[in-house]
Amino acid sequence: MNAITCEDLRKFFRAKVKRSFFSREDSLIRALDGVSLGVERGVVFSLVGPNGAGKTTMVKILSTLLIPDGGRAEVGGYDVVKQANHVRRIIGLVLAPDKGFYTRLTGIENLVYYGRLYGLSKEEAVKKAEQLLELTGLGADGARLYEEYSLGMRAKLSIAKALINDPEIVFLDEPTIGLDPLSARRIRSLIKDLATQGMTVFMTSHNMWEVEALSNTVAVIKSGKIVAEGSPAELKERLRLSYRLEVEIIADKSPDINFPVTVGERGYPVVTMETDRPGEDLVKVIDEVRRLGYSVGGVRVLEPSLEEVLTRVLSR
Amino acid sequence: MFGRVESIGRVFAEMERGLTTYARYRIWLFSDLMSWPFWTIFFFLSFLMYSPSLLASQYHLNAFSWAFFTFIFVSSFIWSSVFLATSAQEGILEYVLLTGSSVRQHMLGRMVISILDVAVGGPALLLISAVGFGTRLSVAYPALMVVSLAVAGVFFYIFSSILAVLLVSLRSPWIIINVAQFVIPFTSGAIPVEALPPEIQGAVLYSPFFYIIHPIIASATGLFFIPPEIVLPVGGLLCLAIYIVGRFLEKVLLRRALRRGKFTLF
Amino acid sequence: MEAELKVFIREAGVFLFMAFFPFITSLLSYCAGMALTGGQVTPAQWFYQLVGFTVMMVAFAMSSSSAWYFRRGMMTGRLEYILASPVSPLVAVLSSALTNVIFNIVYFILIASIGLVLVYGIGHLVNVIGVILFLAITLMPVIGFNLLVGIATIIFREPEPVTNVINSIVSAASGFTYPIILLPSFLQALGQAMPYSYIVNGAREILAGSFQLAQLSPQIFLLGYLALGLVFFRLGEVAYVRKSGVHW
Repeated sequence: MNAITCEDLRKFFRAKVKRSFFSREDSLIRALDGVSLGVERGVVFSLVGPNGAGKTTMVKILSTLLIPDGGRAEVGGYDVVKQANHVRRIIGLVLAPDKGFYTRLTGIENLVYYGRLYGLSKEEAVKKAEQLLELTGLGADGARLYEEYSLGMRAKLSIAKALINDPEIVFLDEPTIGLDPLSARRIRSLIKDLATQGMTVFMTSHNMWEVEALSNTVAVIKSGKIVAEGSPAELKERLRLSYRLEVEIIADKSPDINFPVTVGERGYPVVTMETDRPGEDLVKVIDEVRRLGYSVGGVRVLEPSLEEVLTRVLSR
Repeated sequence: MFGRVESIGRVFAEMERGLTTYARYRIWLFSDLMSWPFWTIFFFLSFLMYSPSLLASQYHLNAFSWAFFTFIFVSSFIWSSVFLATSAQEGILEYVLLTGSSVRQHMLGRMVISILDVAVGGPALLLISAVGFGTRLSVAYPALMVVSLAVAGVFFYIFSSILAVLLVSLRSPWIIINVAQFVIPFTSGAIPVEALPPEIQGAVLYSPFFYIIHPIIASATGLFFIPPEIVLPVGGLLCLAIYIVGRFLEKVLLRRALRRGKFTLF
Repeated sequence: MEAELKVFIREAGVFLFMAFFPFITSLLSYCAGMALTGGQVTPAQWFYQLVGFTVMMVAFAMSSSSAWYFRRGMMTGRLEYILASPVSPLVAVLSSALTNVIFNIVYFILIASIGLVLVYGIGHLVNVIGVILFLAITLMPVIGFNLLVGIATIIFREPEPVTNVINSIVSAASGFTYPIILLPSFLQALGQAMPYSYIVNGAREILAGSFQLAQLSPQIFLLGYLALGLVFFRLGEVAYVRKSGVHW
């Protein structure tokens, strides 16, 4: 059974568009326009797309904070509308990593507060909060007031809060937005650990490198519709994205060779080509370089990135 | 699904959160202590502008000091309505609802602060009135006073929760609360009802707040306009009625909020 | 100012609610007065308090708006944008304050006109023109006064406690709803040192047709509040830039 299933999910918003000083017109925004997808248990699933594509709407519907206008969705086998309370028991959520806490409470007090709202006793909540502070790397900073936290610390506390009820599924809406590289790395490693422990992670992000590194499955959403879905490798293959091959030749000037040549970072000529068969073509280039009596300075085979996938899919 | 034990745990969590926060917002208590004497003077003289000679009437001064007590009571409770709007703006409300907690439970943490405000502010106001205007500090029926305060506490807790849900989307809820804090008590029994002209008395009796506020003043002054054996049960029934209305409204309004994706009603 | 006006217009519901306040409170007080004196009250007394409660509302609206302007600015980061914009931050802050003044003049005129017609008849309505000019001049010091409220909000980081204290002092000492002669002498002095007692008395006298222009001259000293407010604003701005203790 899937951890998350959506069928023909729809959500519309009415926005007021000003026509003149006195008149306004209702405009219909299709935030989700027939989204169907399935997320297996224990995987990291990423929803990517441009701003306003419907990512946060999707997260809010799945986490029961928004009622859809059409279609249906199940989380952990429970209907998100009819069995919202059941869904809430088994999920954790990070919506905006720098919001959702009392500024005049400490990190641990905030966690204990949420833990007790989830039904833990005070002792259990304190114990769990301490574990999560360690897990997220906040440690002793848990005793500091939330208002003194940096953005990175707030993001870590958000994730700790999302885990306070031992959820089966966590929803993370852009969990590393605005974080410094070290904090972002810590959170990525935490997400990876969660999936290893069998938790299902549903995340959104604009950082394609991060998505590629973490996700088992990626879905691209554009104007409320899923336009591509699969593992990062599948998506690249489906779009027939080419590898990029670079072979540096130790030579003073560009040799007379049957491959496109550019000048590399070290000033040597570099054979640069896009290919679907990187292994075969690499052998061919090296053979040709040696046949002409040159040495190979270095070789680079660059895989197509998920960013290219997204660019290609969104520009269709 | 969410058992009674969980609910009790939530109540304690919210109350502890409220107390901890209150202790860290010392500026609030300081501001109350600073402002109470000024408000006392303002209220006394605003009413007595029409007849400054009444400054010599012990009964009227006593009645007015208890009227201001009810003002502080109502004001402290309904100001807590702003809390929900703040909670929504700070992204806390959504997470709290996700835990299965209700708005009423969430409001409890703020209500603790209101109760503390009344517990400190009410006696302080009575003391200031006694020192500044010579009112008496005695209470005619202490037992009835305790019951009246308990009924009023329950009523205004639920009423403020409803108001909070109604005001959650407003950018300036403070204006509405500023007005309501005067209108509610002073149209509903804070001004000694027995002293009002008969046609105004009739109108006051139509206000549900009268049956909550009048028993407090009457227990202090000893003058019940409606006998306590009637007015207090009516107050209790009103608590029940507002609880039912509140549950229904909370359900409807929250569902509407979840449909629109934001905690807004207008 | 256009942006600020738009914000105000979107709060039309709040404006309507504000409009009810002076009527309701003055009527409540009138009823209480009637009860206390056995009906020996006059419509002129009601009008006296109506004007007082309206000016009190203006005072509340202006102090709270100022406090919240700074608090929201701190919370949302707008204050930093304003400070970093090529336009002087003072222009942005004064624009907001001036919009407030315009809005509150309209508000006052609306309420006072209704009261004036009800008590004195339509003939007295012409006096309203004088009040517009009077308020346009006398609310200027209030801008400075409220800049100080804003600075206090920044220092204490909480708008409500600051406005709660200011509003209570202003309400008790300014003679909004009773002559300040009823107050102890130190409170009378406090009332006379703040702008509102002059505003409320001046407005009453203009509406009643008994105001003399010469009465305006002693109030020039109130402009000191505007100067003081501007100086403190500048000091706060400098302190923020240097990050030296003022928590913007």
